[in-house]
Amino acid sequence: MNFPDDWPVGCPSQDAEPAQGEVYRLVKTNPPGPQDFKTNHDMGTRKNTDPCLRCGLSVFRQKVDAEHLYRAYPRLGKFIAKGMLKPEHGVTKQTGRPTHTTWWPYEQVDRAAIFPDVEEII
Amino acid sequence: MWSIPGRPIKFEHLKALQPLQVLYDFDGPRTFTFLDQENELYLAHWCDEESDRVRYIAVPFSEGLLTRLEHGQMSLREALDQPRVWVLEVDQEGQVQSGWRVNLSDLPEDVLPRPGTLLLPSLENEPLSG
Repeated sequence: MNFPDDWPVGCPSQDAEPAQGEVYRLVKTNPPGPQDFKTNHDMGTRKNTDPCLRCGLSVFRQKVDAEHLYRAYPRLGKFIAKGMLKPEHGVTKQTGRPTHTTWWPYEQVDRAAIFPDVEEII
Repeated sequence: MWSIPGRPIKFEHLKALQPLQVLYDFDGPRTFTFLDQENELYLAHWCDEESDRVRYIAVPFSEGLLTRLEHGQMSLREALDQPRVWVLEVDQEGQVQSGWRVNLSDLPEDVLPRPGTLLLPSLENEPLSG
C-alpha cells in the first residue's frame, strides 16, 4: 500500500496514525459513488489551501457532527455514510474541532466501498 | 448551478477570497472571515460549487458579530442576515470572478444554513456563554 506519487513530499505527516474506527461523511448519492470521495487534490479544486490537507478527505468521528454539517451546508449532501476504517485504508489525523478528522487513503483503496451504511437525513 | 436572484456588481476592492480566520473547515474552508483591499472585515459562507467555481455568501462583518457567532450567541443564518449581502463566485485559485448583490430571503433555501444552526455542533449543547 502506498500514497500517490504526486502528493507533496512529507504528506501525510509522520504524526498521522493508521486509520482505525468508525467515521462519518456526508455524501450526495445512495449508495455513495467515487465522486463522493474525491479529494480537492483529485479534482484540482481549492488550489490556494494547504497542499497536504487537499490530499485528504474530511470525516467525522461522531454522527452528530455530520448531521450538523448538513444543517450548516445542505448542498454538501443529504445522506450520511458510515465507514469503518482499518489500517490498510490509510492514515488519519484529527485536524479540526471537535471530531473533524482528515483521512489520507492509500492509492489502492476503493473509498466508497468502505462506506456501505447510508442514512438519509430527514 | 442555480440562477442567482440578484444584481451583478463589480468587486474592484475584492480580488481574492483569502481566509483570515477559518471558522469551519470540511474538505477546505467552508466558513471564514476575510479582508478586502481596504482591510474591511467580511464573513464568507460556502453555499455551492461546481468543478471550476465555488459560491459563497458574503457579508460585511465585525469583531463583535464574530464573537457572538463563535460563542453560539448567533446562528449562522443570523450572521448572514445583514443589510448588505453578496454572493461571490470564485475560481479554484480563490480569485473572485463574479459578484451579485442579493437579498438573503431570495436565495434557495437549500443553499442557506438551516435556521438556528450554530457555528459548531458543540455550541448547540452548551448554555449560552458570554
